[in-house]
Amino acid sequence: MLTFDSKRYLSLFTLFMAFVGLYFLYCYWENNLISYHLKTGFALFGIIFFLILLNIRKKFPFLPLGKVSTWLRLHVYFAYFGIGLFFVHTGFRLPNGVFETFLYVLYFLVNISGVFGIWFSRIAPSRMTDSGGSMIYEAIPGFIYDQRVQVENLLLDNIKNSRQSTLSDFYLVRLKKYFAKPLFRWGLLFNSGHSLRELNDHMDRVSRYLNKDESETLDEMRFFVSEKLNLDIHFTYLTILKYWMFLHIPLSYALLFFGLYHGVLAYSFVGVH
Amino acid sequence: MERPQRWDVPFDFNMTDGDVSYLMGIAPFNDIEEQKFPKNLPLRDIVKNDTRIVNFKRGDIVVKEGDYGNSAFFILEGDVRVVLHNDYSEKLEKILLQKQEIKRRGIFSSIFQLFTNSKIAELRKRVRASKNAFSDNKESDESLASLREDESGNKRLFLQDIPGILNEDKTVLIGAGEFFGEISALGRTPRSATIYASSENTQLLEIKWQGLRDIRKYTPAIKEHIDNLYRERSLETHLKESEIFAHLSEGDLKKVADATIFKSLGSFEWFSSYQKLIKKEADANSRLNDEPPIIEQGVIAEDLVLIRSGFARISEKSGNGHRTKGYLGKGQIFGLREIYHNWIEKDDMPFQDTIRAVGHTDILIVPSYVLEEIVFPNLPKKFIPKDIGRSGKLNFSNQKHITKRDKDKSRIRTEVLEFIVEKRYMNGQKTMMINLDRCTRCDDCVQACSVSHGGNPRFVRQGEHVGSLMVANACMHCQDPVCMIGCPTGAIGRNSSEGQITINDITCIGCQTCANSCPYENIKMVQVKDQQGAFVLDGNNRPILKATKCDLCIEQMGGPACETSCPHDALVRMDMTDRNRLAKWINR
Repeated sequence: MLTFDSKRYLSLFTLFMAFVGLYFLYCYWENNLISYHLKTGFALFGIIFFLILLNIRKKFPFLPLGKVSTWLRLHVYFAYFGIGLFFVHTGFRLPNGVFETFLYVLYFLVNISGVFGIWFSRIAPSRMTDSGGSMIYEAIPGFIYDQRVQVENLLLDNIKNSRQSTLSDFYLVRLKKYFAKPLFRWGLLFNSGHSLRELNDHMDRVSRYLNKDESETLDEMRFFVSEKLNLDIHFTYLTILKYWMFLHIPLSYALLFFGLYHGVLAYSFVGVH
Repeated sequence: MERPQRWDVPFDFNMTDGDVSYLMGIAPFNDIEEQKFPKNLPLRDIVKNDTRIVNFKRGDIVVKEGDYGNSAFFILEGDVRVVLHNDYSEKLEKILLQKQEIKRRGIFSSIFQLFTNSKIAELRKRVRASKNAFSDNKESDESLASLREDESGNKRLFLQDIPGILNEDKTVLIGAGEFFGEISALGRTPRSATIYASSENTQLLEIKWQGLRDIRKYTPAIKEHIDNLYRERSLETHLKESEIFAHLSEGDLKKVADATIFKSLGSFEWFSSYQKLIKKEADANSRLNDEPPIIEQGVIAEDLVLIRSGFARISEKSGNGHRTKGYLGKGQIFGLREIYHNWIEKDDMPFQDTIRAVGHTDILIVPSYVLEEIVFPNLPKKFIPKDIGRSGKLNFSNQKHITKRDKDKSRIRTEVLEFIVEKRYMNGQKTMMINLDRCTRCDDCVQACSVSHGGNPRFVRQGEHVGSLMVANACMHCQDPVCMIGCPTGAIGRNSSEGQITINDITCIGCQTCANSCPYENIKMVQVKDQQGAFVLDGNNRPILKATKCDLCIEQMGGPACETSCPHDALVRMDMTDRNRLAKWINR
């Protein structure tokens, strides 16, 4: 069983060799005045088609077509190679027509979203694990509901015992919204403890107005506040992991479609040259 | 709708009251005190519904080595022969395995399921077995050349040319009045040998293990007799199979067998006490005390321990507790390095670790004098413990040595070992492990499982974890599948040579015994629905339940869909007894 590092080094070495091969091929074409735009265009279209096959492979998990992880590895490295091929295909120049510019931008949007996706898929799991194991995205609102019920029950018990409303007033002003639903916060992606610190500050401030019973309840509430933060961290990461695909996949299909259109046009006018 | 019952489908519809009366009149049934059986479980009903009389001709295969058997046999007439492990058995195995068919979906059926999966969760077209559904012998393979029909029309595999395949001198004869097949029926293990009928008219009483279990429970004499057989036959077979004794001659092997002691530790139904301990949230030491010690650290090394079945924890004293260093499973040995060291050095080195029985464990104890006299002089190099240096001394106190090994990628961290043993995960042969540092929680695995099972996922992507290693709530297809204990209909069982444990949905009566027995909570009871999406109810308006769990995509061409569909290589189905592979996977 190869380690992840070994697999990565092996793949990067293969990619490097492929780039070297492409460079020599490019030099050969240039030096011999061989037209390569059609050739590279077909190759690029073939690569884009292969990259899209990953999505189709996933629809047939029961067929013996190899592991999806292997497909993803090939997807990533073929996509990297495709960037090099793209530059060769475009002759290392910027686009100058409307459709060409559109296709150029579309290609890079697909690639940028893909690179972001794979990078985020590598960093997000360990950060989510650090904030509390494995979570099911759809179950997060349910967990938050349970937390809210538990916190509110604590407060109701406290009101009965202490006959004071300080803590419940504080909850209504500062915490009710916090426990209302899962919160998506960009700051949570960067290990920002700002929101928790802010809430802790509020709780510290209110604690001076509390009696012993209320202070104990507040301490119990601190636990739920911190747990809710973990759920929000999961929610934020999972939302991005879930929705970046909604950008990457439609853009990829659009690229395939417009790439095909571009190919048909180019092929139609090939005789003019 | 009538609620499904245990004996809706008897073992054999052809069993008559006359057959039952005949059986009740002969040994051993005529010695059984019927009044000792509970009123709701009379002996006659067990005999009628959980047994069948089967006739065999010479050469008919009764049980095939490697198959998972759910029944034992009692010889009423004639005799059978057990094929011992030798060149002939290998030849026989090749002949039999070639003819084994694994029924998987074809390419069109696989693709078609994408369109036929229902949107109604847990839809069932049938919830109860009918007589017709069981009239075919589905186990038999019609493509076999060497098939013949018995008098009931069932096809049966037989050996056409016994002398051409086997040397009958290398077989053991079992005659009328004897039991066989009880080892795999009660131990939930594969058949350890192939057995064929050796007389022209062999009549056997086949007893489902559920029936055998009930008879043993209420008849101490039969229990003792079967237990003795179980011990004797296990001992002989197991010693012959153990690699460390492979180089011995027949005579030497017999000497070893004569000196070997067989011992069973822990409860056969170990999961009940384990579940109680878990519920009590007992501390680590209390849980450890629940595991009977086999050998304690510090005792002079005099006995080699072979694990016959079950598991053992290896630990060493650390402060006021014990640090888990590993675990042993079926076929593994303990104590070889200390005993070998003592033999080489003429020393009295004590055992360096403690081993304890985890759950129900059968062990074989081989005294050191037998090893020194018979086994060690010609011990093949590969069995000489790695810790033994060129001088023959053990490197117990060599700190550099330990540090180097700890850094080794092939080692598993202590906390992971503790976790695996504490939670009894070493029982899993296909444990679903997820690396949470790789898993993006995309649920592609759940989706793939759902697509492969009619739209119903058969596991939950949640479970116990240690660090970033999670064991998900998916059936582990255990080496010791305690879920099979107590199933009144035999709906749950191992039904292929690959060892997957599956549930026959039609014969499952929804009694929840398996779900309650599974220590890992990997069997889920579901309320089934009809084609209108309404819950199927019995006559008392109670919902009909069915047990569901992972079947390792037994019908699918691509194997476990969860594993193949993971885009980040975060999920694996792991045989926990393969510690090298486990370590490599963890340390990737």
